[in-house]
Amino acid sequence: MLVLTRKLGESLTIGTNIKIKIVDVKGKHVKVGVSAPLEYVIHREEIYEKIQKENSLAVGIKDIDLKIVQKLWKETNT
Amino acid sequence: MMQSSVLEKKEVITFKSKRFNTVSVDADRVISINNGIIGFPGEKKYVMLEQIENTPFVWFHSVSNPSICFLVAEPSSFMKDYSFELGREDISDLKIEDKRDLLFLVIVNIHDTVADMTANLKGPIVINTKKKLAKQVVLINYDFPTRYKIF
Repeated sequence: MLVLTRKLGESLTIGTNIKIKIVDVKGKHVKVGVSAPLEYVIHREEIYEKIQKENSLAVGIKDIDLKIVQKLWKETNT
Repeated sequence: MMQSSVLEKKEVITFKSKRFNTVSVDADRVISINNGIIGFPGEKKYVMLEQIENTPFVWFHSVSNPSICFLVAEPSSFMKDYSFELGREDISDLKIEDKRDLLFLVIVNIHDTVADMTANLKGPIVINTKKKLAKQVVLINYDFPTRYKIF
């Protein structure tokens, strides 16, 4: 990973059209501004990781008792 | 002159499944998910298997990997007011022309018992049923839970 040191208010660019600016620094919190073309979706990584974790768990579902699922569904929806 | 009849034979695909051994479905049921389900970028083709009888739950199964299959459901089956706007990127990835072609699925998780079943409302799978294209979208601008209790 490339590591750069930036001061408050300074920026860095990625390619020709993505700009990342350090907007504010308070204690352990850094506010980062990102300017990028609309086709780029920018996420906080943790949201992505959370979804990935849920997906991995979901793939690991063991055999389920369909009768229990059917019963619970019936009870909830009648 | 002899009358010739054209028998339309549907193409069928067969794939291996850890859960169901061997599965055969009509090839036109295959859905392409070019970015993959998040965390599973290598699997790009899925099919929806038959609904679990008397429930809204369906298996969303990878065609290429026998171990990858998700239990999913249409969120409207257990939630009335779940709606969101798709981003520009999603609309173009899914080649959406008419919103009525869309099908929404949420991935289900089972925790300690089946009664703890939850649905991930934050990262639904959106399917363009006409184009057979799907994408798992991340609803960053909406305050939906990743573990919504179904029961």
